[in-house]
Amino acid sequence: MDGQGAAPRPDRDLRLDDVACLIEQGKITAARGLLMLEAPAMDTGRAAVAPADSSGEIDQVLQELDSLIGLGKVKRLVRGIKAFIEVQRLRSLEHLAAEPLVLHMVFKGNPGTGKTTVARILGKVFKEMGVLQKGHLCEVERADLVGEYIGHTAQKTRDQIKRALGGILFIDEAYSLARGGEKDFGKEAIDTLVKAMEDHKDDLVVILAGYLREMEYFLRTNPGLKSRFPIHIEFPDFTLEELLKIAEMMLQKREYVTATEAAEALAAHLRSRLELGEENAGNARLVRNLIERAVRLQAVRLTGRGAPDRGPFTRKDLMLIVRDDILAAVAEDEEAGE
Amino acid sequence: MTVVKEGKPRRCVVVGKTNVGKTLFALNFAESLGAESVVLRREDSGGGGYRISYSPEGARRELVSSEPHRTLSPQAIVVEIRAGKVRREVTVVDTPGLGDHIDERPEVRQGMAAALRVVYDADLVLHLVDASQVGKATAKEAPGEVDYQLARFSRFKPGYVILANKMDLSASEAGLKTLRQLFPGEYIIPISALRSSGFDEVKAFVRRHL
Repeated sequence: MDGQGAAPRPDRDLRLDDVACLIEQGKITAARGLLMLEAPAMDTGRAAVAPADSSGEIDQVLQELDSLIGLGKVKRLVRGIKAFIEVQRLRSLEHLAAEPLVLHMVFKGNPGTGKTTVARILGKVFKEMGVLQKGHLCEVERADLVGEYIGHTAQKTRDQIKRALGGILFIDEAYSLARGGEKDFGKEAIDTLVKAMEDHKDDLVVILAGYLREMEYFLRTNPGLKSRFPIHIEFPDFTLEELLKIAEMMLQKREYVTATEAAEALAAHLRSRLELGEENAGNARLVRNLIERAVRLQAVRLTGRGAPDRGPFTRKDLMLIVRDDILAAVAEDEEAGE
Repeated sequence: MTVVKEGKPRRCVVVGKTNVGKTLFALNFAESLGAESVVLRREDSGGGGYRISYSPEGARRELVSSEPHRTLSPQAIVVEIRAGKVRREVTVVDTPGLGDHIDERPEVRQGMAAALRVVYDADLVLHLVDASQVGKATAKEAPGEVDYQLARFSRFKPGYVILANKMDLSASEAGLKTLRQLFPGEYIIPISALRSSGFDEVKAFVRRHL
């Protein structure tokens, strides 16, 4: 390279002329025009982003998705979305009619079933595929969007949208935007959101997340919203086997092992919760909390006052989670839950 | 690696929303670089151009206004800047203001399109933002959508800097703080085009990217 980077490329003038023409005719704003233009390749001395060369990256992201326990249906759907984007791209290269890429989604499921985790991975997928500039996840809830007086809500919502541009706006417990009836400002937040989705068609993906039943009711009562969110993904509760696998993986990552009786105690506890039909029984977050407690309680057992077998510890001692650690973690968890 | 050819003129564009002080900045910046007269080269849409020469005062009187959209076509000022022992010519192009909305006046829209062309070809982008208007929900609101898109577009230019202008106004200190939060990772220099303050840092920036 010898500083010729700014030399016109054959396709460059055409694109720029088209965009300039649209602005002159008053069809688009200057901001939109900028968004349509790719910056010309210039020697910046900095590493430029090369979206065409990202196939390795995307494999890595998909591997991350595959490494999640369970979620079979969700994984298939994400791959389906990826294939759809690819094919639409190829079609538009062949000048075939391409479906517009509307990727707004609804995630339905109980807390701790992997909604945020999958959203974060989707952000990376979209970034690697060049659908989104940045692919970051901007997590918000009602309080971040809804204001306290007239006019406040639109501003707050717009601020969050600005933050999310180029990435995913993830609205947790989105159904709560519809609570409070006609006079509630939640409606204003929804209207602002819908408008932003139009304005930033190419630079924003919105995900509405929440409990299955509440989300279905929310969409039924806001029919205008439903048509704007073509992709629905259900996140089922985790099964006992999946929960145990999650626990095992968490411990493995932290370089701990469970004694057989400890694993049994954990299984028994989780099973009883599932059988009781507790609302959040199939919840990975719950397992994580238990494991974190157990890890902490193991340390207490080893070094705490009155510990019978205080040091020196073998490598195995330091790694082993025993039955008592699990039982203590369960007891502590139940206490905290009350 | 970049090997910049000797003497390759660098194009430096002054861009931003309307009424943020682009023209005043361009003129005062040129003057602070030692320009005794301002030779403007205007490019009209047909590809032709003409030159006008002003004294610095005359230029300010003629070209600067507090009304929006005073500048309707890009105007270039050629200045010399010292980089080490070498004097280099730099073309500073002042551009028409960009708005967040579609303007009903065709001449304003033409100006915006022309500004976009200059930004496209520029090596250095000096992006002016009115720090006194940060967070105000008016048409002058800073930063507007167009500011975010400018930042996105210009990030991979050889040189990109945000100039937080109007630091002589009292509201600007808070505005600057907000700007730093809204554009994390971007290089932001506080300046006052009116008082010609903060220009040393801008000069250093331009010099580094010659």
